[in-house]
Amino acid sequence: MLALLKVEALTVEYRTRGGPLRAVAEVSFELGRGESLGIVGESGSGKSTLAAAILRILPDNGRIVGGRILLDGLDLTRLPEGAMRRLRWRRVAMVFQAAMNSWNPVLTIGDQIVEAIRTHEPQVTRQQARERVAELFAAVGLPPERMDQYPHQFSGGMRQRAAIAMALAGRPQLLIADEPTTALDVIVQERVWREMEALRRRLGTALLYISHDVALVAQVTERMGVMYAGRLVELGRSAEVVRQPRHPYTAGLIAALPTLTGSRQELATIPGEPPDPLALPAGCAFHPRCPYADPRCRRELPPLEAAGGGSRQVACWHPVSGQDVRADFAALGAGGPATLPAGGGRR
Amino acid sequence: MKPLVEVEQLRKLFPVRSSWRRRAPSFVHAVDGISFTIAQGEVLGLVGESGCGKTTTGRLLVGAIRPTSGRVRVAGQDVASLQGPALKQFRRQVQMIFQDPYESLNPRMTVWEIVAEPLAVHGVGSLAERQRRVAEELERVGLVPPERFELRFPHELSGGQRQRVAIARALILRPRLVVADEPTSMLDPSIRSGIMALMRRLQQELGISYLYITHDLAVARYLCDRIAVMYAGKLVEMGPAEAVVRHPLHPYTRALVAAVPSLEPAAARPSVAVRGPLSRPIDPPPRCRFLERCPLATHRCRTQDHPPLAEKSSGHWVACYEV
Repeated sequence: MLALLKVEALTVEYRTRGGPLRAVAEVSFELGRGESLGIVGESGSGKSTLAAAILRILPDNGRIVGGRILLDGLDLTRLPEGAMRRLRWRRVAMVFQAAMNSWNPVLTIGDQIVEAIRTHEPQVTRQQARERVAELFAAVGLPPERMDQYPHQFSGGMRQRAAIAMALAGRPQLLIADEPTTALDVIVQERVWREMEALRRRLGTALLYISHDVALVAQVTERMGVMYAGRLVELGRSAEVVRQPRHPYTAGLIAALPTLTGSRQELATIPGEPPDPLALPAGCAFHPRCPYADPRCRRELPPLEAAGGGSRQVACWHPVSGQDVRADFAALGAGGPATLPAGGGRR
Repeated sequence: MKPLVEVEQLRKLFPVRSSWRRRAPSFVHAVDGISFTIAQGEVLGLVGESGCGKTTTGRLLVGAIRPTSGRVRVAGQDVASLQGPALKQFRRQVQMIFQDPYESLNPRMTVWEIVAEPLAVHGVGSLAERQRRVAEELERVGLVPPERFELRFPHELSGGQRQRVAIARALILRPRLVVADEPTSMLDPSIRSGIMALMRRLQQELGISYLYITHDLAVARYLCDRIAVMYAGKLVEMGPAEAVVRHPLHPYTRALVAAVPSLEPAAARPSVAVRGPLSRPIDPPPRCRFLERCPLATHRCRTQDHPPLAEKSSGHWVACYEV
């Protein structure tokens, strides 16, 4: 069956004073109908640029310079802005970290969602729209009678829930969520994502979930991709990726994560810092921080390819298979300087 | 041995701006009668969600604000009563590390000036000696070779490097107590574990005590000897780190533990039965602060005062009538 979203070799650049900055480089993946895919990466990895590119809401200095974004076979990179505007929210909606702060303070939350529905679907009556909002409110754990209240009467978690209701009110095929629960406290965060998931599954909406939090992405999504320096370096079933990471970067990230359940041993430390996107290392961008790097890694960029059986894809010449990653990173860190010069401040 | 830090019935109330019609002002009970100690060389984690009063507690400990009532003693001395030379001595012994290394370092000073400043303020050593000590300290925090960093400005460094500079500055006077307020929460995951490991190594090498303030139980478990859980101005649980995380007693701590995302599949984990968000404790009634959200609340909880911390097993304290 045709995938709902097919991203092919997507490349996005920003114009900067230091020259063109390639934030997303040749990223390819597919997302099926009703499926969920997480994208994990650290700041500067390109994950948010990827989300903005799919919705075509890149900042003024950003531009898609290569590749295609196919939504149901329709190439969004070639769509005129007017058509794109009609498609946003109606077919592809977004929730982001600051969504809770984007409500108009002088209108009730309910009126704002009703307004959005009626703008995009003029045939829907006000009463029908209100019924839909009440339903969505209940689904995200908000008392429907509170739809006639103003944003300031809602807590941060409630405003974020309402933002999810707003995003799903247009019954989109795809929801893009960029750190939707990062600003919330952990107990509220857990409830918000569970409610979002329950509602999304019921509506059959596909989810592209972007976060820096590997553990959260592993819980929320069925499949996940890991981005490093603008590239997708690993892609697979979420539970399998965290149980048995194949890319050394993914393995390092997971071994660096403090947990409540694992043994309390030393955490892995990935030496150095993510590279300056204006001066990426040759070959694999992770090689200066990688304990398994050899001359080939310094020369040749590894493509994202199937690794072993199953659906896992890894962009690495020497995928991890059962090594003691923590010890190997520690040995690398002890050999070199604890911190390498970073590109901070250049932009 | 006497603990380094003794906190007794500490309270801090902040007035809330009320409308012009209301005569009696309202108060946020940011910190409301908490007591704990920190031993020499011990790391106490203070864990809670935003607005629970953990940062206010840290500021009370370093003497940045004065308590409404109650007392903080560091090395036997009442922090609020310190003046003159005793205050200066105290400032040498107690340092703070902040969450945001982008804001806590003076952008107009070089790394060398930032790290050397405490030495200058306290008139320690000659210039040559200060140069040697700054270089040593930068090496100690992993900024090597030091000469590559000394003349840089904070904006030329990455977040992790800036936090290393902040740590070097805090430790150069060899304080006895460091209050660290979310020092790793703004850092990327691959950088965070390095800073955590550094803080732990320095604590062990130098025998410093930390009050480690964090919202992240997993970070606290890794770094701390004991964990105190704070909720709406009250300590609700305190005990050895592993006991609090593995066998949480208070319903709030249990909810917190259950809500932390883990690498295990979601289906294997219980959902949380806690209602609603944390509300700011403005003129709170004298009941348990967790009452409205608590799945265990009974008649007793609704009619009696906030439960006191009681010891349930060796060193493991909880403030709840129902556990």
